[in-house]
Amino acid sequence: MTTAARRFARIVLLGALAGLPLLAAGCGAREGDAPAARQVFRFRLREEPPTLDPALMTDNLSESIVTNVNRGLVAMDPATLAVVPAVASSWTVSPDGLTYTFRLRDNVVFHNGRAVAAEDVLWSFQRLLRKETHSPRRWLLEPIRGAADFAEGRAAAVAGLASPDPRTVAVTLDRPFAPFLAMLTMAGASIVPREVYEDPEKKYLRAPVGCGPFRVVRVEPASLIEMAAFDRYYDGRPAIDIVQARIIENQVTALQEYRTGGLDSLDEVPVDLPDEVRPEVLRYPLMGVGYIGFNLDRPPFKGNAALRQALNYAVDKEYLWGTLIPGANIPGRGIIPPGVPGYDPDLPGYPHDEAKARALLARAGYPAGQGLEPISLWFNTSGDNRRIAEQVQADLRKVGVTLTLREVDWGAYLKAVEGTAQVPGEAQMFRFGWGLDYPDADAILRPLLHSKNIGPAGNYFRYRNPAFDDLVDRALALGDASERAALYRQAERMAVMQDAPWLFLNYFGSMTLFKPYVKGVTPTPLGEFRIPLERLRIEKPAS
Amino acid sequence: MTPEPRRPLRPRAARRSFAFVLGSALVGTVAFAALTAPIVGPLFAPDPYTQVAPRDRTPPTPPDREHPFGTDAMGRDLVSRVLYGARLSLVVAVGAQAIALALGLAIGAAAGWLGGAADAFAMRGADLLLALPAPLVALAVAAAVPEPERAPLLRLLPVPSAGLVLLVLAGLGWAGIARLVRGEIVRLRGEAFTGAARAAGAGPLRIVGRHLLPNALGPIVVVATLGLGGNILMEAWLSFLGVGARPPIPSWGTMIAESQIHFLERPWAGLAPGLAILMAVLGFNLLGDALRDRLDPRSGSMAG
Repeated sequence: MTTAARRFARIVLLGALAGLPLLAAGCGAREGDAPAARQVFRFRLREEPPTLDPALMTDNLSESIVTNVNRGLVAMDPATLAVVPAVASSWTVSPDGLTYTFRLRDNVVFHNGRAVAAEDVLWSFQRLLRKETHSPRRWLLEPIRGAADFAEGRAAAVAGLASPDPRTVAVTLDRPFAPFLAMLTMAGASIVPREVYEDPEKKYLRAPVGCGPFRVVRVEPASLIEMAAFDRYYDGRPAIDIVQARIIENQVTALQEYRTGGLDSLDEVPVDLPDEVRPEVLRYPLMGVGYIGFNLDRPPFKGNAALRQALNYAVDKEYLWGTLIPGANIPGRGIIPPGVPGYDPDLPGYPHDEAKARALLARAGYPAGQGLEPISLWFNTSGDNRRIAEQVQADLRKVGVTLTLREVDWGAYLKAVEGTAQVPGEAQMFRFGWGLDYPDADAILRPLLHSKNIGPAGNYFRYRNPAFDDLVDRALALGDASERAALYRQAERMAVMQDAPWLFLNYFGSMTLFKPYVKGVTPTPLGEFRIPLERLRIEKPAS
Repeated sequence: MTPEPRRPLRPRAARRSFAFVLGSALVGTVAFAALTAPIVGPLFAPDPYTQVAPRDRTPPTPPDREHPFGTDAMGRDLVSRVLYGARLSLVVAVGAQAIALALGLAIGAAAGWLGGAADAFAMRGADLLLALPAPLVALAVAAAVPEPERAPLLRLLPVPSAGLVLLVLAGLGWAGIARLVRGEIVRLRGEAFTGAARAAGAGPLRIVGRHLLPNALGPIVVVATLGLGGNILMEAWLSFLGVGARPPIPSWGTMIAESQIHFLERPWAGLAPGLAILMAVLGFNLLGDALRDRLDPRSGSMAG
């Protein structure tokens, strides 16, 4: 035996000795446990969710937790996109379309064990509306009569909210409002327990309590959020026992984790997939759009539509999504994505045309980009953002426009982008995406582009066009679906072809990895993180 | 354990010259690449920014006859980018070292010659800088200027983001040199020839400049050369983390960062810049070691 071989043998022996007690302990534990193994589902979050408070959340990282912990009066079926019962078992709408009467289930319980009553609905709605809550989703409930008076502190109660008995809630609107029910399915309108959310120390931010299928059991900052099945969930206990949201920033690390079995699902899939995981990719269309927003209150985009149009023509969307980042995304032409009533298949958009870009650039006052300072393009560290930004940078360089790239984390990104209602954010251009919360053009045109929502409420671009506002407002009051769609098409054309507040990039699609033993996956156009976890099962072959 | 018979060592001089030859060759190659980038690069791509991969193939495309290193994740030619990367890397490393050297010589010589409060002040400053973990300080300072292209003064430089890295490295690099110079000056100040020069009526500037510094040059050259390798590595590291040279400027560090998502399936995009960094850093380190053996008779064969 050579020296090296002998040393190797010694190491192996030592290793085996050290491992023995562990092995024995492992066997013992397995015998003592219940026969059925716990079902654990682990998915990846690219970053820490900014908040776990349903009233404050606006992004899909937070959504991945919040929508599993909370429930509202009604929910949206992830597959059919129909409004279905949740905390309310049924509802009626008065003939004038003004009063919605909800009948609550009698078996809904918060995670702290207390039964949900009509009083909780009223309190939760008031909390969302209250000014001190600072909810960016207050608009969900603003159609309710007296909501504004309550929010401004002019009234002690919301005039349009009442509970005739402990299991009935009556909601009266100011005027008929077509998407109201669909809006109530959003996380902002979740029913939360007063005793938890009145805490001045805000402990609920780290230990949220709701009445959804899963309850939060562990929050480890920047590492892990663990949820457990809620035994008394009104719709029956989920099959999955434990859900772990693992925060793994690096995409390569995440893919390695998935390959080696540390994750059961992965939402951001790189273009170059190892062959062995290729069959595990699930592709499905999402209801959303990707774009680069222009800050219309900052130079050089302020008051210069020709410049914004020029930049739109300069970027080759077909190459971007066809060759550079082939996947589930479709080159985008406008705002309303396919599948949503109001989608316009004939919208011309801005097909790649460098000559037109140059001509418009000259008309904008910057012939061949002369006189134009470098413009900063902001994006958060995530998935393909950097390559998208670099491609846009390369395309714009060809027509003489210089971009500097600002890659930051999500929190810093939002801060630079949102601004306040009065003061514009720092970012001049920023890569963004918007997934619709319910299949209605109002769910994108209003939050993102209505002048009432300038600032953190969603109109980060600070787009103001009274004619556009008017179209969107008028469509809302209409009952006829095709008339509404026609108004939305008109509004979209106005924003896209005339004002160009965005650089239109893509309609969303998703590529998500699921291990073959994860069953019951319901792909949904609502987003990767809206796949209902309570429908999942783990069916690992017995080994 | 059976002791194997040890191989007879090759003569020390031979090993020295081998390190010197290999180090010079590597450094020479990198320097040649940097100098000729505008001539050689265009043979492969018009510039390091233009996408050359076919419009119907998802980059990075593998190495072929036209693009011997392949293309990167944005479809840009890697030969051209690695060559221009050498340019950036060397300009930053050498520029930073030149400033550090000038500062270090001036401060170190002044401290060593004057002694007293000036010495204490300068050397405590240097100690303070040396006590801080240089990579973290560099990272913090570079990250504190998120947009060099729009920052005052920096924006006037030809490549503002690389200029920032250059200044940061220079700001960190002078302390070690100053300490070395100061030590040499203090040592030489007591030598007989200094006294002779003074007796002959030479002023302090003349003594330090003509008599002391030339005698201290050996170790200074060695430290400066070794520092170049460190600078190259630091520039690549900062760019890798996204606070060095900004896209689309071709920097080896950025190139490696951009190749990361492909590194399992399409490794070439990271391989070329990775090997370039290896060559440059290894080259400067070997050269520095060889120079130490030649110029610094006091150090033994245990380089490092």
